[in-house]
Amino acid sequence: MADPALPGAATLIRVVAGSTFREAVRSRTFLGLLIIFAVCVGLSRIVGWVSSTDGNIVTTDLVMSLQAIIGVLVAVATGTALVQSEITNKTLYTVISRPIARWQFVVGKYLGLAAGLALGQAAMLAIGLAYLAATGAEVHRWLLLAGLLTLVEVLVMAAVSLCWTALSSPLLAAVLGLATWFCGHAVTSLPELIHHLKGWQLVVAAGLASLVPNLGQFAYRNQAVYQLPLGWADLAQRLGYGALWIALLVTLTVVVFRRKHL
Amino acid sequence: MRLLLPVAAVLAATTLVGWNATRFVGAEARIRTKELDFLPSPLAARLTACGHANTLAKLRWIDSFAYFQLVLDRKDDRISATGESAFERLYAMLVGMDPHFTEYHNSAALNLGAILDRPHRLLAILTQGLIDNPHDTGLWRQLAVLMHTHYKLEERHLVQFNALLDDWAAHELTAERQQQVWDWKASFGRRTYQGLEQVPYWLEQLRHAKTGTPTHDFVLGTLREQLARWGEQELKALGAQPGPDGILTVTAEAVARHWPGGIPSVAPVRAAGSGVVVREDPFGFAYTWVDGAPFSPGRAYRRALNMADNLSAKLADNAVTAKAWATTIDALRTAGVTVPPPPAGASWRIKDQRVVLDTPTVVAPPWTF
Repeated sequence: MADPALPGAATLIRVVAGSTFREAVRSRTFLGLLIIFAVCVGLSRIVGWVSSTDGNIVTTDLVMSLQAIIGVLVAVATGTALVQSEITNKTLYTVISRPIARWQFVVGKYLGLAAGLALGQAAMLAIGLAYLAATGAEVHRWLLLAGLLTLVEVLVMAAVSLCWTALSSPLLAAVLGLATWFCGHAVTSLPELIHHLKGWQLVVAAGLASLVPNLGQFAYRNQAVYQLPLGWADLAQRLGYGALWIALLVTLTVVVFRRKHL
Repeated sequence: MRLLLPVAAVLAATTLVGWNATRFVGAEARIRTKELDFLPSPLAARLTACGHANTLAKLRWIDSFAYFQLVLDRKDDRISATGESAFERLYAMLVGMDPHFTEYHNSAALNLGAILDRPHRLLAILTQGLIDNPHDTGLWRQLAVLMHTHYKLEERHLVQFNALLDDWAAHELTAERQQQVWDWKASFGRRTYQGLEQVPYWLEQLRHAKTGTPTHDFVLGTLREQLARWGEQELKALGAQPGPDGILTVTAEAVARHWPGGIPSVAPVRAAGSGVVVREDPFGFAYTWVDGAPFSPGRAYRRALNMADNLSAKLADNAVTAKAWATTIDALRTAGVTVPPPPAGASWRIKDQRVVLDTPTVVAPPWTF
């Protein structure tokens, strides 16, 4: 029976998430990456100028790609360091000695990180779109949708990194995280290649590819630049797909973390 | 001491930035030439693009501009290892990765269609482009120009050609654009000047070339060259003769007989008072009389300028063999390099380890379109 004097699970998760979010947002890395993004976005117009076109589409593509690439790098870097830094600083032992379940700690940590990443993505999108508008490129609602789906990609990658950290060391987890990112995009084109395989090879290839999140679902930016519409049903399906993967990966992390001898 | 360190840091930073910036002072554009040997298939390229197919395709396209100049000079795009067409591989990859960016198709129209004369390959790329972008006016126009210029569809199967134009009009999304298709169709009926059949094609390429780029200069030069060659033919047909001052003259009667409907806007003559005078050639030089026929100096200079790039390559080859750069044209000839005589009024010179052509000053602004 739960002690009524103790705070509820939701409160505990909120406390951990809030502290993680504040830590992430206050860190110099967060501001530094935003500055690097802003500088790269500023330089992207140069590529537009040398493109033998008016450069607007080229610059828009670059801005959207930069948001995704920097977002994923941040997600992998912070996702892998999230729990490890608590262990290194020995703050984890202070936390888990309190009446807080390990699953609450992991979920709180992930939600805090997700909120920080979402804030970063929103800031990057705002900077990118403001720059595009200022330099004469067309800014339309499809770019906002593309930004939203990029955020889901980043959140899935954060969950992937968290999961790999639970299973291995932080450095290896970062490498495995980036490998998962590559595989996640590669499997998008795999159905076009699968006809080269037959019998058990096909089954094995399709089975292995299905174990990886299909990150191509979130690369709508490639169509959004040309204002190709995305239906509500399609959007909902992609958001649901991302949410399911995040839930699965965080659950897996919780299972592994509960079995760890700390 | 407390002030010394920051001051030293600022000084060091300023020096380094200045040092870096000096590379840009007085820097001249250099044509890069490179091969396109290692291009993956469209599927492999998409597989490895990690969700950034558009961006990677555009960066690859920009990088391949350096290769365009190589092909413009050689008129050959075969990959040395396999003999495959590098342009065909390049455009297959770009269109496969980023099918909605129609600048690739426009670029293919110039490189595969005009320069390398492979209309079948271009037709495949344009058809694929229209499947991906059925409402793109530029692609429809390129296709219609290709069918008209290369396949002579209007002459061979007028009904089919009109069906193509009707199909184009049906895919336009606004009444204004549909009207443009009909205007365009009507303009085909007016093109009746023998020797200028390719001009609509090149004008179309000029629309898509950005001012100041090598592609724009090439297309503009080609247009002027075609009009200058046509001008020479027309002046001959008009019975042009050199006057005592060397200036060509034609009679108003001959012009009226030749063009009863009026002087075309691109003709080498124009009305002046009650008579007609010979205009400057499209490059801005006065037509002259050479070997018993009208002669466009501008056209000859352009051909020689194209030759200058080959001569520069031979100059570089010679420098490798002789371990020293020839600094004069005579020295280059002495080294065994065949340097053709320059066109009348022009001269060869070596500047900054490149062969350049010095031409007289133009007497009128070159034609623009």
